[in-house]
Amino acid sequence: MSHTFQATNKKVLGVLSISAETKKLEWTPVSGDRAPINVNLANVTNLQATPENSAKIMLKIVAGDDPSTFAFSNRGTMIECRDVLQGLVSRARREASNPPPSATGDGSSTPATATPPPKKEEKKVAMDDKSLLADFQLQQTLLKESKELGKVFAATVIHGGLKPEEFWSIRVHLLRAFALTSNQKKGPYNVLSTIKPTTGSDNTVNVQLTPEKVKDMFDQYPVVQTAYDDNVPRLKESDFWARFFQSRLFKKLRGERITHKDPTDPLMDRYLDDEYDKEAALAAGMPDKVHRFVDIGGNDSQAGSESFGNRPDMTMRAGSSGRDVVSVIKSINRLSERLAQKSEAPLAEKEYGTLALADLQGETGAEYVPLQVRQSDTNGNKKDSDGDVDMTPLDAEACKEYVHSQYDNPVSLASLVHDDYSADYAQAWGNVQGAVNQQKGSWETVQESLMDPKVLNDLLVVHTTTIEFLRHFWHNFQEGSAECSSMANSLAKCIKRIDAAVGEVKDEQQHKLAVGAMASVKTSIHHALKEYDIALRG
Amino acid sequence: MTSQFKNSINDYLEGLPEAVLTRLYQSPATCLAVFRLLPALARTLIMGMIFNPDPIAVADVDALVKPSSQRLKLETQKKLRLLHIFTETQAHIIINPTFKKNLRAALVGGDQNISFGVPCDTEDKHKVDVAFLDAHAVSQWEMILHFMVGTSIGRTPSDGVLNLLKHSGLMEPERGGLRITNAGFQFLLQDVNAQIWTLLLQYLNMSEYLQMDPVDVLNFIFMLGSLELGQDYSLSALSETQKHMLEDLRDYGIVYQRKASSRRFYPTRLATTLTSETAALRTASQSMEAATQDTISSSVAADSGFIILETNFRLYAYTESPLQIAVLNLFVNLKTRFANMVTGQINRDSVRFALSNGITAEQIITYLSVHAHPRMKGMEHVLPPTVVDQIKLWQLEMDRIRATDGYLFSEFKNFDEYKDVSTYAKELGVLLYENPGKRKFVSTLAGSQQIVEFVKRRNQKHRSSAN
Amino acid sequence: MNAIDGTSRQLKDTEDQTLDDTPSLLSIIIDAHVPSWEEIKSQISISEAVASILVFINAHLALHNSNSVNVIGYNASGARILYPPKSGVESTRSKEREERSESVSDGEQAPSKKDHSMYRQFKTVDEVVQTELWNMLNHTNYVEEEKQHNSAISGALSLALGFINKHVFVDESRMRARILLLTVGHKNETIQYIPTMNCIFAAQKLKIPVDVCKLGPGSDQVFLQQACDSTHGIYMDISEKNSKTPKGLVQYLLSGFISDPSLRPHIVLPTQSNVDFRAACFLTKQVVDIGYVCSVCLCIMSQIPSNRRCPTCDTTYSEKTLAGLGRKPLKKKKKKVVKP
Repeated sequence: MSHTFQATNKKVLGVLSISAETKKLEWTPVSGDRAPINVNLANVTNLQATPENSAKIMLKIVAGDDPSTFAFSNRGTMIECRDVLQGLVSRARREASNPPPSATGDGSSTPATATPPPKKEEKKVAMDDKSLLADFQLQQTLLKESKELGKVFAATVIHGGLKPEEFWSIRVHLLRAFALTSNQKKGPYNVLSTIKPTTGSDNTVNVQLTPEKVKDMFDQYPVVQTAYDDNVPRLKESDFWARFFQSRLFKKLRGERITHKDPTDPLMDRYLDDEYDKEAALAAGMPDKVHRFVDIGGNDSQAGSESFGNRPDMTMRAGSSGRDVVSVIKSINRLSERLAQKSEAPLAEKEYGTLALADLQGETGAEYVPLQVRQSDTNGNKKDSDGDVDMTPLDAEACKEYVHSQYDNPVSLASLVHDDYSADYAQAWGNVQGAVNQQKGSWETVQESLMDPKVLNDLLVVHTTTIEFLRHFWHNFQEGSAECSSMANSLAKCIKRIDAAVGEVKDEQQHKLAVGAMASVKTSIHHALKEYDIALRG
Repeated sequence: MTSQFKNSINDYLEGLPEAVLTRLYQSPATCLAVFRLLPALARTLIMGMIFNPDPIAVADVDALVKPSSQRLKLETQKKLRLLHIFTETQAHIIINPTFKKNLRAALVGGDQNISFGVPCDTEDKHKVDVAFLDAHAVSQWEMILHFMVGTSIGRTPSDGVLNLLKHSGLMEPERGGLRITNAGFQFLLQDVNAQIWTLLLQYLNMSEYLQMDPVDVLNFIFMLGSLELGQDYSLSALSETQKHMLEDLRDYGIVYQRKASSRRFYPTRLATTLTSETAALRTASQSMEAATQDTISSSVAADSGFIILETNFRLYAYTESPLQIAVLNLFVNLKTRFANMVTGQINRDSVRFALSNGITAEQIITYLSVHAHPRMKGMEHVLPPTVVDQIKLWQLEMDRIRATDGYLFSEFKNFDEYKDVSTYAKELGVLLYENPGKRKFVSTLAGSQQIVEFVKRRNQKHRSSAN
Repeated sequence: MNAIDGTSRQLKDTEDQTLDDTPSLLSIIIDAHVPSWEEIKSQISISEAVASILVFINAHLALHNSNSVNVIGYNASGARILYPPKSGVESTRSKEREERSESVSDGEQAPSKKDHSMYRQFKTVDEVVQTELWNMLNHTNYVEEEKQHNSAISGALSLALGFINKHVFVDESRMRARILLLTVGHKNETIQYIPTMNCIFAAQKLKIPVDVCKLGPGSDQVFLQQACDSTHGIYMDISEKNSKTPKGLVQYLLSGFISDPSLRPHIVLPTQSNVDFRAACFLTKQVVDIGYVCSVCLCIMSQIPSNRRCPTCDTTYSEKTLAGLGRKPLKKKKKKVVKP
């Protein structure tokens, strides 16, 4: 991208052209008398312009030994030229001192494939069992977070004598999940979307800017960095930002469409050009206009073709209006990709593929694991008191006889009304009513036997601790660990605890209910201890 | 039967004395019909008792019903008591033995009773089919309705019918003819089943006056409800009263007899669906349409509505029947008529016209939803809620002002006096309106007397204390 | 203005004291296994039972004029829908019947057409049911002994559920459905557990109560009780085994089993089921307190199976896992005898 200005050098009219790519300034005379002047902008040491009030409009460029002076027809042109030169000179000088990064750096990442940037070395939280168990702080936080867990911990460890390692040893999965969730951090986001210029009281526009935001902006939009570096030594920072946020450049970077109503800013608008957007330039490697004659695919597409009636969608329009919109969308996409790469857990190629939209691919059915279940007929039957099943042989003849005799002497419906049956009917009614009464009775006893909530709470705590100890006991029992004996002791203590809790209930009826409620837990403790005894002896 | 008519038949039956009811229960068909009118809990209880020789204990019934459904139990017991099916002693409930015996007979058969009608065993030389019966029923019934609405179709109903209409308050005599009343308008909007029951109940009421045995009448009505369509029945099963009734019922289109001297009669669809669900019934005009078109099977035509109501209050009715158009005209502003359709709009004026004739918003809404087109019925709300709400609002508009007669008390000497008297009125609960600023208030007519006395007493007290 | 709100946004009052008057569909499943009936013939004869069932069907139809009924019969060879009959079948069967009735002089049957004392609707249903049921009984295929012990309850239940599904859900009629299972039960009867349980679960999901009336000494009480319990049905065992008698069947049916689905929330059901919900081992069939559970099919075992395979789903367990289960706690030098 080059800028051209009409300038006069030593009273000869010519064209001054400045190229951003090659960082060169070239002046060619209109009429070929004089030799052209080439200046490498990196070598420019000094740049001077005639002051405002002076009659002359001249620009002096010092590059190395000989200064060149150019005169302009109007001040505006000169100012423009001066600005361009300033920017380019400072950039050229910077680039000269820091060799530019290799060409394969930023530009090579095309939108289709994402090459994951190097993993950021971060303090990773160890996720293995040992470190989790040792991390007391994590455990404390988890206990504070979850009240339920805290209660159980208090009851078993603090009051009950269970060792904390035991407690956590069966809850490692909870610790791990908690550690993972608490380590999650918020990733990078498009900082420009957070900057919202607000209109102040007397028509001034305020913008919140923090150094982090500035840093983020430079990170995400190298153009801004370039503009800043070019201009800030000269302009005041506040001025720069002020102009930036009002410029079309800002709008373009945000992805908003630039209308002709927006104010133009000669300084900032320079950066609108595509030369500053390397990626866009690379992405737009295709030629602008493909001859319709050649572009068969483009002609065929339903969306683009107007023969189907409606004007194609905004993103599908050919020509410059379409391009603007598409470029906006593309730049936002590129930005999102860049942000995703910068995040801490970059995606592997396979995972990236799963992000792609698949709703047109059709539904994949659920995959079930088939179970080969054997069809044993009387499965699930509990044996009552009967022993084996005995098969009495079937007398087919007797059956046939019976059916025929019945068929020939059917019972009419009216005969059911006969008095002979009255006793049976009365008895039947009695039985049915008995069943109703029984059901009602059991229903009512359920209603009455409600436990007082406070009693219930206390019993629940004791119950939970007991279950906890039982769990540990069985865990150790199966493992064959040495802890078993202490667990057996703890179980004995549990029984004492239960009895104490039940004993505290004063009210007769509640006491009975409490005893009934705790009966099954006590049975399980006894059972466990019996198994332990057998194991020890045998 | 719609619940309205269940209730009215129930009321009528409950009004009968026990002896009459017992005679009524001698017919199994009646027992069955009355049984079906009862609430569900009653039916269950009765079934358990038909074969049971002993009476059941009250405690048993109490145990059967959950405590949360006590109200249900009480209502059921009350109803059964009123109908004299149950008699309650201290601890036992005894079922009416006649009812028990005959309901059992209905279930079990075999006792050669004729309450379910006796089909003819000889062939009819002039046999008629179901389509003919439907057409006949429809034409008879519509004749009556057309007469009420005032559209002239050439024939007028018989004198018996006219008499009935007059006595039931559906039409009133005016200038030599008959004019439809408000009740008549409401009648028009009901569905056929309800309409028939209205007339039959009226007939029942008149029957006592005409010295016909109401038991016979009811028995016959309930028997009709249990007959089979398309089967001819012999007159041998009917009593004299019932034979007499047959003539009147012929005029309504409920039964068909080829001529007055025939020894057989056919019940029409109007008869067989007397005691069944409304869904099974087609409206009269639909039957006629179906009969003339001769294409649709009965089940499909059964729920063919024809009204489409839009949210912008426009109405499209796919009908050609002059009766239906006349009915719609009562509350819809009909604008255009096409070959198979009429269109119109429901607006405030049309609804007010209907309301002023005594039709309620509920009736309009029910009529519209019953005759809604099947496409409308498939939607979540059959009628657009906006229209439904607006019709109800228009009805409320009629009630904007409510007038109450009262007495105005004003011109009190001072504020204290005003306060005393108005407080007294408030405590009595007769104060309708007060304006302390102007020291006036209005009380009801009834309460005014007491207030006047209070004032007199108060004045006396003041005068005596002043002296 | 909520009073005139046309949209029905309010939830239905759960304590609705007025019953909805919906018609109901009753599916009766009748045990047509002749040997079983033969065994209890001293207590109740088949024809008496058939008569009682017919009265019950009439009573059901009497409750509401749109009530309908579905009758299914089952025996060792399978299950069949008896009512409503397939069209065309009706005429042939009734012809057969008439031929039979002409040859045998039974005064009760012949004038069936002339008996007008029963409500017509009842009469037609009764006749068809009778014909079809006797057909099934008469034409029973008495096959080999072993197969006689199968009973096709699961088939009958599936037929009933299919019928209900078609007539209530697919046709979208406003009906409630319920199933009544009248079983006699042979004492050696075997029922296919898994298909029947599947049917029960389906009935549970569709909110169809399954009632059971047990007339004879068949086994599997527990499993039928479970069926009633999960679907909120009524279970009544009126067999002699339960010290009752199936005589007076009609009264049992009319008082215990007559209640409509819409009435059931309001009354106490006369059910006799006391389901034992305790877990039982699949191998030894004993009740189990502490045991092993297969991680694939969740079947319960009280001991490690000898062939290292799960009895139901046939998965093999690895040696390592099984060895791990058999570990015992280490013995300490000092034996601490714990007194509970």
